[in-house]
Amino acid sequence: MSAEQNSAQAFTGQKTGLGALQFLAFGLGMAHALTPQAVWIGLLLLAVGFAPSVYRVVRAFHNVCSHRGSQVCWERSGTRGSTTSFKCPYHGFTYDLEGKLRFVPDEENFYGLEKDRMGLAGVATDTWEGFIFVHLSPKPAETLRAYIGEIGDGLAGYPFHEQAHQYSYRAVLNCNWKLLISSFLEGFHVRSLHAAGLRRFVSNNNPYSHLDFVKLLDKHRLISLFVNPAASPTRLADIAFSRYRKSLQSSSNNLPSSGSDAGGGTSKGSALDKFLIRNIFPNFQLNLVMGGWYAYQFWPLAVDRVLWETRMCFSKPVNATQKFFQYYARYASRDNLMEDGRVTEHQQLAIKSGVIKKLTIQDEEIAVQHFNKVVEDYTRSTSA
Amino acid sequence: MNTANSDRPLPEGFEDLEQFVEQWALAEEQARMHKRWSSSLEEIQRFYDAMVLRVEPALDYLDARNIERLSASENRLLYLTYSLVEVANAVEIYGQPASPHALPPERFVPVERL
Repeated sequence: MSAEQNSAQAFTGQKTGLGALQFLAFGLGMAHALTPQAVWIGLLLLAVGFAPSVYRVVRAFHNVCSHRGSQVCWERSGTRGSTTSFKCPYHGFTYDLEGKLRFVPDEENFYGLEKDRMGLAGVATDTWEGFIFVHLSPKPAETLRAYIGEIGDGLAGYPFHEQAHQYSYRAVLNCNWKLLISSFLEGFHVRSLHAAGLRRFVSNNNPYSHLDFVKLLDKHRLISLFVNPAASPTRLADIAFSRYRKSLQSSSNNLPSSGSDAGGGTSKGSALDKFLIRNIFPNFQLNLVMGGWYAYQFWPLAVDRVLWETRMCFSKPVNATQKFFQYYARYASRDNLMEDGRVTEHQQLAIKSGVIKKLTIQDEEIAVQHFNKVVEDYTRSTSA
Repeated sequence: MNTANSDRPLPEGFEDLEQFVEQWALAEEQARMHKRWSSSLEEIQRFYDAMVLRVEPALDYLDARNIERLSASENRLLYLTYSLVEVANAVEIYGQPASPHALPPERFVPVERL
């Protein structure tokens, strides 16, 4: 492919466009791993409650009080383990986990109040392989399974729930959400930006970390980062990985035994020798890594601000060696991620200056271009 | 639930690492991040050089115990191994406490586990 150009304007964007988009990955955990709690991001509110006695029910609502429209939950996104109700801080209107309006202060002073019609406005929810998604339309035109489509190939029944020991990070960056996501859609920047990634992701034969393969789907994309099997580990990486492998051999806490090809059909070798990035449009990224999986969620807060939540999940560690390895694994990723986060802020400032009118793209950045094309198409279709 | 070691800084046999307990045996990931970012490379190097030789004996010692029921001194030993992880790239890759291209630690924040 010859060098392509891309609109600088599209990257900084005048609107986030997310509200008009499709299924959004949502929530800090997986449906079956959650205890009753609430999670909220901006104008979305996720409530996980228990139906009478047995099964968990996941509900999502607009985080908007039906009285005079304040946000019901104000604090930064997070969880409240024992939440049984949502109380709007403004006047104290209180809703239960099903979204029903349960308490109105000074109720007798309202006239003709239809309490049973003043619950929190619902948002559709569904789950895929245990991951919670929401859809702003009460009745989505397509099912979540159809929406996920081919990007989910090879993951049916993948034992995500066996690797539910979770560590999370949170960052609010001063950049457009698309810039941050784009930084995970190519390996071209590894050689320059990521000293810590250099040993693993480049080789003499592949000095610029050309991707193993790219799959561009209708809305989603899958890229496989090159991993150099001959890279010499650092001293501590060697200790962490060697001990971890030995520890797995002598414990029942094993790597996923799934025989399916989680790489999506065209990869060779096991998923654990690879670094696969599944970018599930619009706001979710799922990486399979050694001993676990990472999930990123991206939430535009404004044109030039994004909330970035990173979850790194592993099997429950059964001994100190496994805890040590898990700390090493997420820390090694963290050093690189903190560079990705910072560079996108510098990019935002630079693009906003208007000095360059076009962004230039090379072959290895094709998934970046694909992602932005899909965003553009959605934005155009919803603003028409 | 604590063993007899709980009133010592570290389990028996790891006395040589006691000098690092106050500064580096930190229970929280965010505290370890701040310690790394706020330390000089010399201080980091001194801890790394001592700890990297002792991390395998420390993990061998801890692996023989129930990870859910570590005593206070055993936990401190585990935290020292975590802090070694935290500073490894400083010594092995960057030659300075952290990457000059990284966000500051207070902007990439570990969230309490569910």
